[in-house]
Amino acid sequence: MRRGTFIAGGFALAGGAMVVQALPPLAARAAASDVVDVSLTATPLTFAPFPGISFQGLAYNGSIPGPLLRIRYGQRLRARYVNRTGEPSTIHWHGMILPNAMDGVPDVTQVPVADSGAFVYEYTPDPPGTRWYHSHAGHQTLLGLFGMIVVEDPRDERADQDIALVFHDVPKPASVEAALAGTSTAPMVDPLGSPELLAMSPDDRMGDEIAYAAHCINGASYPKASPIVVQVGQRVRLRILNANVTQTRYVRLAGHVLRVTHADGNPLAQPVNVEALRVGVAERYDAWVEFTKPGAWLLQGLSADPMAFEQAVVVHTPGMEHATPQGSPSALEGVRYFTYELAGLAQAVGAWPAGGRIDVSRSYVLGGGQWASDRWTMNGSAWPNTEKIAVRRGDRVEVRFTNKTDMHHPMHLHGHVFEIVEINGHALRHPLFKDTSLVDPNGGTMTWRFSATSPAGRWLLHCHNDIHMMDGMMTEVDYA
Amino acid sequence: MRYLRLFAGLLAVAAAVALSVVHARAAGEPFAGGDAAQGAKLVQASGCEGCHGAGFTGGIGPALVGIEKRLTAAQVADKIQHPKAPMPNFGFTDAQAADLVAYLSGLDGGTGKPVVKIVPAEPTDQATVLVTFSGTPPSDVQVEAVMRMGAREHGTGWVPLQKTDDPHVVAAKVRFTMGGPWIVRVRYGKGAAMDVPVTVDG
Repeated sequence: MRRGTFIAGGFALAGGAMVVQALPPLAARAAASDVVDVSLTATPLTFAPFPGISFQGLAYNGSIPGPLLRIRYGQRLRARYVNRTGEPSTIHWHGMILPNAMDGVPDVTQVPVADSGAFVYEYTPDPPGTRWYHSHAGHQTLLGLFGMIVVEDPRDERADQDIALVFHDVPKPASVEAALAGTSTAPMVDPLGSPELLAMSPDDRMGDEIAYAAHCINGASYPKASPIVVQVGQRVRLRILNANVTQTRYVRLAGHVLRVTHADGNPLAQPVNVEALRVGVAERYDAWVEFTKPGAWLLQGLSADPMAFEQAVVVHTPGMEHATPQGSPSALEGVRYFTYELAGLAQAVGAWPAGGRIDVSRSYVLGGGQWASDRWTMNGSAWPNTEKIAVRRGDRVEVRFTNKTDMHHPMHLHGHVFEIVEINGHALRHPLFKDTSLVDPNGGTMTWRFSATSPAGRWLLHCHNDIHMMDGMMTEVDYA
Repeated sequence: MRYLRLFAGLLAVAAAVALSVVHARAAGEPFAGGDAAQGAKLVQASGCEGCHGAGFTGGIGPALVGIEKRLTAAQVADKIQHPKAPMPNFGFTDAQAADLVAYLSGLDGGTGKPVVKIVPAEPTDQATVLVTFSGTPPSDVQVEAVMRMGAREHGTGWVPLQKTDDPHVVAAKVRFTMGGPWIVRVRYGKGAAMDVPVTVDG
């Protein structure tokens, strides 16, 4: 008989905040069990992470983010979901290769779970790594329905501490409604590098930006977030998720180098040392830090264009809890930060990525986003009228994006791990294995390749900016 | 062009720059003569309002409106460059500290008028009114919530403001009996009352 391990709820604390904490060591868990049982219940939550902020959100098991789930590679996950949000909902297991019926897309892979209804998601999480789960209904992720799931890889090097860091921001409700209509007057915030942005006045508005009222790491705003205590000599693994659904975050830990080993939970060809991480919407990075001296430092999330300090948590050695934490300047000039090109050893323009046969090839022009247009497109069409990608099992597939808009688009493919082989004309010597990737604005290009070896079904391919997705920037990969 | 251009922010920056000129201290004084526009950029990038409150009327960190009347430029710069936890040390240079001092010194427009803050900004049935003075608040500060109904005004009655942990801030709760546009009216001494419009989502 199989023995179940029940892990839900143990990480949620009163007040809706998940305290920054090290993951429990493996020895503390029932390693022998085959099935890990999880119970997730979504309910409304008044979320108050900062004085003066009282946000009417949604939460799994009463906390934003939802409970941190941890499972060993090879174990089976059985997650019983109870929906008490008052509206239909689902759970999408972001970054997992799993049976299509477990993918959690309303009206595509399952009938949405009605209010007061329940659904059991059961699958064996694959591949291992830092992944996450979130609602795929409406803009429920923006309201708080998200959490991290870690699938432990037995091959990973051992860390002295393994710390989950979920970055998210609390929206101003009025700006969400306006953004969905394309008439938001919230200031534009977008990653660096857009010439059109540089030409903009600070007072220009895009119409689809969401304004945020508070900025959190693991559900707490600085300085309320519980500090992370590290020992001198420790090597600490940080698992970073950007659960903000519209904005990129740059993550820095003052005075320290981040050794990045995984992107979206998948190992890099070789680790990359950087001073800052660029973490697009829905992306995850694993970064290792070595603490060699006593001190107190800020681990910060910064937004770009213009750079601004959004969220932070203090990291300190014992006895330094009252010390003034050292922060990082809110500027990236001269700062080596993580990019796909850096990690993938981008080659000169013109060198096209090598590779074998391609069975299916599809190009998409990402467009739309006109003021108050309420429409984001792929090849001029909005979901559900976008061109689909039909594949047969075993096909080698190439998808190329050209971004004609002036915003980055974090494109996400369900149920697969793709390889980024080209960015803006630069072939990558080491393709990056990912499930979500930022396509640069203003003519930026990106090419993915993947093998159609996932379970048969309909797998969505969409922009993970919730506003863009709901306004049409979505298609699907269909197995014949 | 797809953008909606708003000018309000630009005017605010222009006003801040103009006011910084009014507040420029005598040449030769340490940390005087900074560039308020540069200071505004640093303030934005560093997220100062996240802790010091919108409009610098106080939050987790103290109110900074009227700081120039309480501290010298050098004292303000010292707090910026040698902060105490939880305020982070961003390693601001002397020139950056002077720019920040110039910006922060212009926050109250040089009028000496107190700043009224309503928390939450979009209340449903009640709110806390915080009034920040550059010096010690007078003892007779009062607040009333007022609803305009045509030409008539309906007030909920004057409430005295109480002292808070911040010696420059007095506060009181006001109640709104229905949704709609309201005015929060503050008065003290013999001066004219100050009206702050607020939309109540009732």
